[in-house]
Amino acid sequence: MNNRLKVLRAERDWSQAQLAEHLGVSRQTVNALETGRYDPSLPLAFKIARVFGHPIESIFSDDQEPTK
Amino acid sequence: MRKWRPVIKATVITFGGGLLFAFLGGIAVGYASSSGWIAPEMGELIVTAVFAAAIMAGALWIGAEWMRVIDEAAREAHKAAWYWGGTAGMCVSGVGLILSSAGPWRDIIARHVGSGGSPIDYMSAGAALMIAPMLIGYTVVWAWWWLARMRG
Repeated sequence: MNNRLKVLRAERDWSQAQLAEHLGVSRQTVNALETGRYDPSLPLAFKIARVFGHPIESIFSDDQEPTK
Repeated sequence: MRKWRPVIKATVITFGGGLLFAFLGGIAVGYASSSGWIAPEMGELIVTAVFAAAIMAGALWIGAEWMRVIDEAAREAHKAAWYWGGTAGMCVSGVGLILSSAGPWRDIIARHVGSGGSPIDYMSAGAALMIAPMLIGYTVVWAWWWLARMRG
C-alpha cells in the first residue's frame, strides 16, 4: 500500500509527533505508516482521512492497482 | 499520561494487594498454625497458592488494560511476537522435550545434566525451560517487527 502521508504532513508543517498526537497513535506508528511498512486498519485510515480532510482513496493507493 | 491511568491502577492494585495479602496471610497462617488449627505447611501452601494465582490474574488484568492503551501498530507487534516468537520458542522447548522424554538421548543427556534431582526440581526446571525460549523468541520478534518498520 502506498500513501501520501509524508507529503500531507509536510504541507501542514507538522512533525511526526504532532501528527501522532492528532491521530492518537505513537510517533513510531506514524513513521511505520509513512514508510509504507505498516498498513493502517480501516478505523485508523478513516481517522487519517478526517485529520487531513481528504478522501481515503486520495491518501492511500493499492500498489497492485493497474495504472490508468 | 492520563491514558495510562488504568494500567497504573491495575499494577498498584495487583502488586500492592498481593503484598498486603502475603503479609496478612503470613500473620494469619502463623497465628492459625501456632493455635493448632492448621498444619503450618498447609497454611503456607494455601497463602502462597492464592498469592501466586492472584498475582498471575492481576498480570493478565494489567496486560488487558495495557493492550487497550497502546495503539494498533504496537498491538500488531505484540501479536506477531506472541505468535511467531512464542511458537519458535515452543519449538526449541519441544526439541528438549522430545530428547529428554525417550530414546537413547535421554540417558546421554542424563549423564551430562545429572539425574539425581528431586521431582520438584524437574518440575521447576521444566517450567522454566518451557517459558525461557518463548520469552526470548517473543523479545526477538517484537524487536525485529519494529526495526523492520523503522527503516526509511
